[in-house]
Amino acid sequence: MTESTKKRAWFLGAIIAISFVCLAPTFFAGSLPEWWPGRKIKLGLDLKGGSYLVMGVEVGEAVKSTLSNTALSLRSELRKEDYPVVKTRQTGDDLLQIVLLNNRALEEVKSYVAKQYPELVFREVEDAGVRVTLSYQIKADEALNIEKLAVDQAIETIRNRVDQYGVAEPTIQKSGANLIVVQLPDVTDIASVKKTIGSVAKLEFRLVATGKEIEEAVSLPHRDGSTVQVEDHPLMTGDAIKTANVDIDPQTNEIRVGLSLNSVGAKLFDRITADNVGRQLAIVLDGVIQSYPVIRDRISGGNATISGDFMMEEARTLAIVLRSGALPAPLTVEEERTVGASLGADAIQDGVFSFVVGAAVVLIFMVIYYSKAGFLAVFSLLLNIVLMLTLLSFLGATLTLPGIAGIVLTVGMAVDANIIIFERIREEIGTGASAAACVEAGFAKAHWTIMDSNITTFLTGVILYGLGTGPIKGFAATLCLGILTSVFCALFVGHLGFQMFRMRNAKGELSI
Amino acid sequence: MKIFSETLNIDFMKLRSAAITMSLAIIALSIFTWFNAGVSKYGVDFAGGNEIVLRFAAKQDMSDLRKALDANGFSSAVVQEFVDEGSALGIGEEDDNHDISVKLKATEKGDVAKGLETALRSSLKEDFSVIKEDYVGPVVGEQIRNQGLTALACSLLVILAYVSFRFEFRFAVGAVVALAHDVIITTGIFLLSGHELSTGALAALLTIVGYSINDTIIVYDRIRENMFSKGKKKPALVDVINRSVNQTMNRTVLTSGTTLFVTTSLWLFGGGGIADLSYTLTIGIMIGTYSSIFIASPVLLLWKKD
Repeated sequence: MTESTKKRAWFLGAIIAISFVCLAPTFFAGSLPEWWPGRKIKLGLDLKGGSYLVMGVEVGEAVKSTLSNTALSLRSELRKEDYPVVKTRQTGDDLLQIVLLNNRALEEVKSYVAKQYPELVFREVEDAGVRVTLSYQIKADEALNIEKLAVDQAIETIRNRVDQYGVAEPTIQKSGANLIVVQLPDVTDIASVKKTIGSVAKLEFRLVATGKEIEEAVSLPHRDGSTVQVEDHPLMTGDAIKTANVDIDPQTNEIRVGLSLNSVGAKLFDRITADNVGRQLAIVLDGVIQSYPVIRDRISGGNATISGDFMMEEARTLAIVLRSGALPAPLTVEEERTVGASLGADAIQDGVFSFVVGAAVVLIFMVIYYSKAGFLAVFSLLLNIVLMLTLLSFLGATLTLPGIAGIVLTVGMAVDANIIIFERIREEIGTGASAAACVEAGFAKAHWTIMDSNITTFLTGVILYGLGTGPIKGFAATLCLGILTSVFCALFVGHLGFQMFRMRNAKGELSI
Repeated sequence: MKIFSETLNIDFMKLRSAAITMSLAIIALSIFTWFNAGVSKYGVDFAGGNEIVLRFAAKQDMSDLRKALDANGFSSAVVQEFVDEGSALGIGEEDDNHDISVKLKATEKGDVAKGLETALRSSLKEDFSVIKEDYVGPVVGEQIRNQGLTALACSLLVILAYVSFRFEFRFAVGAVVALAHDVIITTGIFLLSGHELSTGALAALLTIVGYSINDTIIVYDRIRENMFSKGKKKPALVDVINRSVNQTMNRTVLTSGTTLFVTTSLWLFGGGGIADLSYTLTIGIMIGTYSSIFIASPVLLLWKKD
């Protein structure tokens, strides 16, 4: 053996050793010491069970909601300045309107808005004699800003809610402009998780309208089906909540949700209850009134209760969503893939079985067809698989069912490289050159054929990786990694094998 | 041991007119099938909708399930076995469970999975568990469709560029024509055998684009070598091509053959989850091998270099 051969053999040995270190966690999970580097190969949701959700954020609603809040603030500010404001409202997709009693203070109102709310662009004024209506539109880039913030905030809120379910290793990521990808491994009750995640959970405290407020009141539905007139602006919202818990009234056994307010909220609640003793305070969740108890006393302890005929599951879900804060906009489920754990286990079994059968057929064939060189191909192939799995583990890539298919496909494709080389060597033998020369010529001439065919497959693999989601990405990943290891094994390891071992048959010729 | 001897000398190029005619006919049939199928060629992944896989503990009579679906207003649902081909044919491991897939393409109601499940639970006597549940909304369905077409187009362009770079432009044209031929015919056969397009089938088509080029390159490599080696008299292109195809026959058949071993194994034993992927790969590799010999090389002939 030459010096160069020895060096390369040591190099290969080192790679094999590293592979075993990397793969040990996957195959010998329990029995390794703490300091062992590397981790188990990550399994995709289609192999271990779980849910994959793509949720769209209705960003338009976020813009409308922000404008509504602006409309409310604007109304109280303008009234404080003594302008004759009848009402303010949000209309259309991105419009805000101010209705004045007359055009007395028209110019002052316009300049006030222009100064205090630069994000509003004046559109038109309509003087209908009885009322004067000013229409404003929100600036385009401000709207975009709100939309972007809505998605970011939704991600945080979803994360909070998922955390409370105690899902192991959830993944929540932004995808494109307004899509959120949520991956939840090992979830058994996806229906209730979906409901919790998707619930907007907008909480508001509004006084029930009496006396002169009826003019500006809105009608909201109550849980039990009736409608109640409430003031059109909330006195307090869900931001005031520190935490929420389910509790059971010891006397009536009624299931309730207890709210704990933060310091700002507690002060606010104190003032609201102090100013409005005797009036009814409606607790509104997502536009539906849960209850509207009478304020008997000033409440300064920062605690409130929502009771309303809750079932335990409902109360728990409500507590979770209130704890995590409201979603800035509603979510729609755009895509959902759920795989039960039993199917996942079956998929692994099927994948492994098809791999064993496919590989066995190929390997037996290689030995029959190429004799001793065939054995070298077998070793090269097995090493190929080991290296592929090592790369998967090292890169933290996820193995999916199509990913296993990619590994099986690699077995078929890896052998191609060996075949190309061996056939070339056989041709060279026909010219009568020495065995060593044939081997060298075979490898040299086959080199670029192998590179060309594998590079093209690799390029399409990369495109497929870019396009695909989830399982298909896993297929593209194993395909691409497999190509890299195949080229290495066929060219480097194959060549080394011929140089290290005497591949001769009984007659002293090359056994190929 | 050899399959073909070194002195193999079949005049492949003589058969090229027949081959091209046959291919054109099948391509026409495939394109017709594509347009004739309309939206029904798209599975849930592309058209949007629900797919639910139910696991029963024992073999079910599919007609009972069919009746239950019709009775509950789900008459447009498609009911199929969710198994690999091996189980369908009775080979491979025995499984007591009977997995059935119910597909309901996009409705205005959106995600109807829960409604379907509840309806079936009350209508059917046997108990079942839902082992897989997919819902694809219209937005995502269309996205996947567009991405798929883009990816196919990109792959063909990338290969056109690479082969032009490594060989010559006319070689690249031959290669890309063969690839397009493979994709169209494979898709045609896929649809004609009663399948609906899914992401698995798409992944397989893209893989075929990348894989089928391999045996084309094996032949091209040899053509290039034969074209530029003999110094004395420049042989006729048709003879060079014939000789090259004959010389590389072993290689072509063996590489495709070994890959077919594994894809067939995947198709027979890989489970229902990759049924479309493995089926499409198997068909595509066979078509691809045929096209390397009978489509890619004749295009070279048609493109006379002056």
